Amino acid sequence: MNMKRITSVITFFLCMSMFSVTAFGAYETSVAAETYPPTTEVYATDVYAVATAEEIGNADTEPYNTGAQFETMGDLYQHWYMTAGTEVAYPDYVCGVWSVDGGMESLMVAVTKDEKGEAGKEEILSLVRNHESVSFTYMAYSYAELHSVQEKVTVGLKEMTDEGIVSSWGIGVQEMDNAVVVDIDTSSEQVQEFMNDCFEQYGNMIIFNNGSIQIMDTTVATGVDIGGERDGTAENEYSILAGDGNVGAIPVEEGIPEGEIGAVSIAAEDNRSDILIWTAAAAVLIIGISIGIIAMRTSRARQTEAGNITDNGRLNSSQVEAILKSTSEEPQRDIFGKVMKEIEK
Amino acid sequence: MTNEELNEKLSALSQGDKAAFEEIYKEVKTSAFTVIYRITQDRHLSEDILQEFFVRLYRTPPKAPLNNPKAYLMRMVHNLTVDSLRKQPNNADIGDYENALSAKEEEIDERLDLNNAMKKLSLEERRIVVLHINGGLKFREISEITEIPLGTVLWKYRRAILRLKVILNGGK
Repeated sequence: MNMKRITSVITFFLCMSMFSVTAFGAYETSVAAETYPPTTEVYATDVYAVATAEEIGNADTEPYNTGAQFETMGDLYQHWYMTAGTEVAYPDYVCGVWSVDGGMESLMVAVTKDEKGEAGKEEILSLVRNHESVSFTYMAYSYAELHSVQEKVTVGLKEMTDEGIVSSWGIGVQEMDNAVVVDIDTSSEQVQEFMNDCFEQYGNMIIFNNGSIQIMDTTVATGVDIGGERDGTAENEYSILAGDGNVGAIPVEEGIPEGEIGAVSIAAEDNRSDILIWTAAAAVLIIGISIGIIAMRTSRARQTEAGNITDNGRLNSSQVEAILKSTSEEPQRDIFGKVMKEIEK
Repeated sequence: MTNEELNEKLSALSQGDKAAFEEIYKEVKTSAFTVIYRITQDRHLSEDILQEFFVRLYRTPPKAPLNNPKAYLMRMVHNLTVDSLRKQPNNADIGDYENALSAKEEEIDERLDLNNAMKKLSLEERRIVVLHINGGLKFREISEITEIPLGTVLWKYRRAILRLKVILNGGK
């Protein structure tokens, strides 16, 4: 690797780091702008610290857990995001969280359908005072499990991009579907093979979207309702954007039958930070990407065994496959003659 | 030669038609030898295996018509190659699916050299790559032949292609 390339790579990563720091600063600002019903007590460092009845004031609303730390499920949800040390903000018994009323006053929490999920449900109820702010449903896979699948599938998607099989795609955990959703053009044979491979490995943990067509493994049912709180359809329910700190309502298309949820439109967000900070972050990112592209494209020419000079010395994976396909080997001996001699013995 | 034509030749071969056998030989020889050589990386051994393959094909031709006669013949070639390698002394590659490339890596020559690049893949990677690219087999068929799970076949194939890309780009 020559000095020019090393310098370009270092500069690229510095720009990416600056972008991350700037974006984080913008995120911090936007989160600080969120307002929630004020509480009277000071949060202790111990998450299980209990407030007294005098501190929380009006304690005569039923059902109401007067001993809990968080006023509503929305407060607990925010606490999870503020204190998450990794990309997965939820406890490992949570499958997803979404809004029932379009805001933060009434949230649906999906938990795993096992002992851990049951214990988790009780834990949430013990942490939240206003039990009317939370309802529960059961799903098959925790958010952490799906996030792990997302990471593995992303490796394969990036490889296909490197090999020129696909040029764009999107992936994310869709909490209301309890699945990883991949947006990709599924018309090519390689993508279809990749898709089938994913279905074999992950079953109904993964869904592929090709425009408006949704492709999934429907051999195993998910989403068993505990009854009462949710009837299994996505009508009039809203999801919360997870993972990037933006909290808000995402309207689901009305009238879509169960199991055929189409593309979810993402609404614009409110309470954004200073426009200048985001503009600066975007500028740094663009500069960093440009440096990376320039470094990749200005590689030196290479000379083949035949002495030909190639104008772009870097082969991509498709070219490697083409070389393997177009070249062949020939036996040097007269094999056919020997075969016939052997046969006629 | 299309699959239908190949089936006709195989059918004629089962009747002892030597002219059909010669046509099959001319059609299949190059791809078969390419698969064998790229797996074994030994020219002399590869020629022996190729000879053995055609002798067996003549003596026990498959019952035509086959769904995919080309794929069938490549499977025969592959299985014979692997069996022959097992009989070789110093068959450390057999079963050693994580053949330590890093242990054998030497300084990479900057010139394009496909055969040298192929030598740097593990046996399993060479099998998967040549069966797919030169043998024309689908990954699912390769998974059945090699008894490696489909997902692993896909992953190893991509890894092998990426390694070849790195090597052919001068190790950069």
